[in-house]
Amino acid sequence: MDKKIKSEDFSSNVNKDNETKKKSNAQKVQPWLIVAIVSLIVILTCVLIAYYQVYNSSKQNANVLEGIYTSSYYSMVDNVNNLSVDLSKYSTLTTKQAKLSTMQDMMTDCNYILAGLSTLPINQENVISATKFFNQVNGLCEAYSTTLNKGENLTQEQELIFDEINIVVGQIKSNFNKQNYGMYDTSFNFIDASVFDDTGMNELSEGMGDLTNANIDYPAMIFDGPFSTALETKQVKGLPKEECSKEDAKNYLENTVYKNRDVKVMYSNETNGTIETYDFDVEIDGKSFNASVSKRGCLLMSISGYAEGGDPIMKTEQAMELAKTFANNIGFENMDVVWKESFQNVVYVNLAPVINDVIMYPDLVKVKVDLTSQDIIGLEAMNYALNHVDRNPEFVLTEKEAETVLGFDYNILSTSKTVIRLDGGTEISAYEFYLERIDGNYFYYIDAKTKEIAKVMKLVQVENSEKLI
Amino acid sequence: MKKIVICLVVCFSIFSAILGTVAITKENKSNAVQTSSSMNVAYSATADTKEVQRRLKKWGYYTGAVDGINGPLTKSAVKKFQKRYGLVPDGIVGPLTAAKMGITLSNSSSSSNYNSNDRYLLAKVIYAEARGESYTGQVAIGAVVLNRVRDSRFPNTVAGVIYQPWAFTAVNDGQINLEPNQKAYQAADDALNGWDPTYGCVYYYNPQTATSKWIFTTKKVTQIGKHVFAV
Repeated sequence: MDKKIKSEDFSSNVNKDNETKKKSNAQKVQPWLIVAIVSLIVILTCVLIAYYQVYNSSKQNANVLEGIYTSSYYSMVDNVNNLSVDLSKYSTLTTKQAKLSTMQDMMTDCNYILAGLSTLPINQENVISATKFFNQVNGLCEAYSTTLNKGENLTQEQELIFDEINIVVGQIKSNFNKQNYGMYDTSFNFIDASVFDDTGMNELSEGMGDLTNANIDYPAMIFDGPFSTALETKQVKGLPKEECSKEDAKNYLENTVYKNRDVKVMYSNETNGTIETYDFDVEIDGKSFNASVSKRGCLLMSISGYAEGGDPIMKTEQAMELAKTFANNIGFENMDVVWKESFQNVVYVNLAPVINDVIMYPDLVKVKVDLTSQDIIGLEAMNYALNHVDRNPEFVLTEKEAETVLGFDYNILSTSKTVIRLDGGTEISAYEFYLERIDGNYFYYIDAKTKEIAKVMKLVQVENSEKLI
Repeated sequence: MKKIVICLVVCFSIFSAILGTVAITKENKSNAVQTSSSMNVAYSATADTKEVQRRLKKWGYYTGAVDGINGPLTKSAVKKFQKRYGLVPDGIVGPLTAAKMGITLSNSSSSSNYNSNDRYLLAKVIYAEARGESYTGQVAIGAVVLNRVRDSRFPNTVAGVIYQPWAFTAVNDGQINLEPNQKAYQAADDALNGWDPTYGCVYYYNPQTATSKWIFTTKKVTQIGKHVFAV
């Protein structure tokens, strides 16, 4: 019995001990749990905060972008309507001043429309015709404004083009109005509509595609000014008609361009652009260049090479002389230095033919010289190929007469007789005045026939080099 | 016990990270405020009086001595100059008057300095689109951008052409934000100086990766590296 009691006592003691152990174990686990739960809550809170912030920020960004698209769209549509109204107004006007003012308004309308077209996420091929049309209307207004400002009148044919433009603008306006119905749906969203499908089209592209449809007959706008059709149809005037062979071009590079140099010339390609060329890879003194020779006339059109850098071993003046000699030796005649730009041990030398003391700027050839290797690493002669012809420039005004339009507060540093090319492609004889004004140095080009200021360029400092703007 | 300590350290680290993030955000905001306030004080700089007198004398507005003293004669000359150039004739050489005089105000840039973003933007697009191509291939990309600027079918600025929606893959995928290298800058310089290995092209594409059917309808002019150039 005693034993039984003892055994019961013992087992109860063991149970008590176990319970105490369990209790103390439970007491040991509790802080663990608390820490784990707290950590979990903290981590979850952090993740939620981060997600909320990212979501909010992307939502805000999307809203801002949607706002930009929406504003661009409505500004574009409003200005198409404005242009239509201005064109209608124009047809009723009789005075020059009113016509000039309305053309100015039309140019503003076009600029807003163009800004909209370039901002909206529309597939490129669906806006190029519309962009071209509005750019050309803009250029036409600018060219006609210049004519009116000169005191001349527009011909009846020139005036009639505005009626044609008005018809096209009316069609575009009507297309926009169709598109507008879709916009009135409150669920419409530019960002969603701009997502491209497998065919490379999106909802917007399809809608705007109407602008380029064949049912719109864009009038041909031939005028002498910016974005004139003449600028897109460049003709090669500076190269002879006779074509040379690939071998002739290779020989010309080896024996004329790189005469007396250890050069390796390898044919690489043909280019069939405005100027047709044979293209070669050239290796000289361990350096590689690309060179192109025109098929017509076998003349060097381009050398393209990279300056590796290092310390200069020649002066800018020597580089200018090297460029001049090089150009004259390879087939560009009467070339003289007309401008140089030096930057990070590379000198770009502009050369132009100087004939009877007249600088022929349209025939510009550019040569790039590396001051660290004394090598010619670049040449560009596209202007020469396009424009070089025999000219007989006429200077009706004297230099003194031309100077009278320069205004006040200036000091002439140099004067030259020049032939220059205007935006629309027309060439004129002009006096070049390089002058110092109170706020900087300028190049003025005065038309030697009409005494008008044809062009003004300012000399500016751009990252330690001088540029003409 | 060790585990408790580790847990506490982890919790502490998480809280520190949160606090750190908040602090960085605040610091960024205060930096932004600082930048905007420093922009406001940029115009409080003054011009060198001697330089002003020297220039005004050279151009006939000032008859006194070049002594650096901003006296009534100098102020009167500045006023005459301002009237001549359509500025408010207050006799003070502020940013507008200084710019007209071609003078650099301390803490501000000279009027003859010009910030060319075109070069930077061109270098960016060249690097993003053609960093694996030959040098000529890189110049060609820059030339295409500039040909588009001159072409009536495209926007009229370098920025407008590069950032025209869907025009360049590198803009869509964000590679445009990579920092261009020296080679890309030199290629941009060449393109800006008139180099155009494509002779007037306004399109280019990689025939192996191009998805648009329309791009294959353009007229191929040449191929440089992986890129086909077309009009």
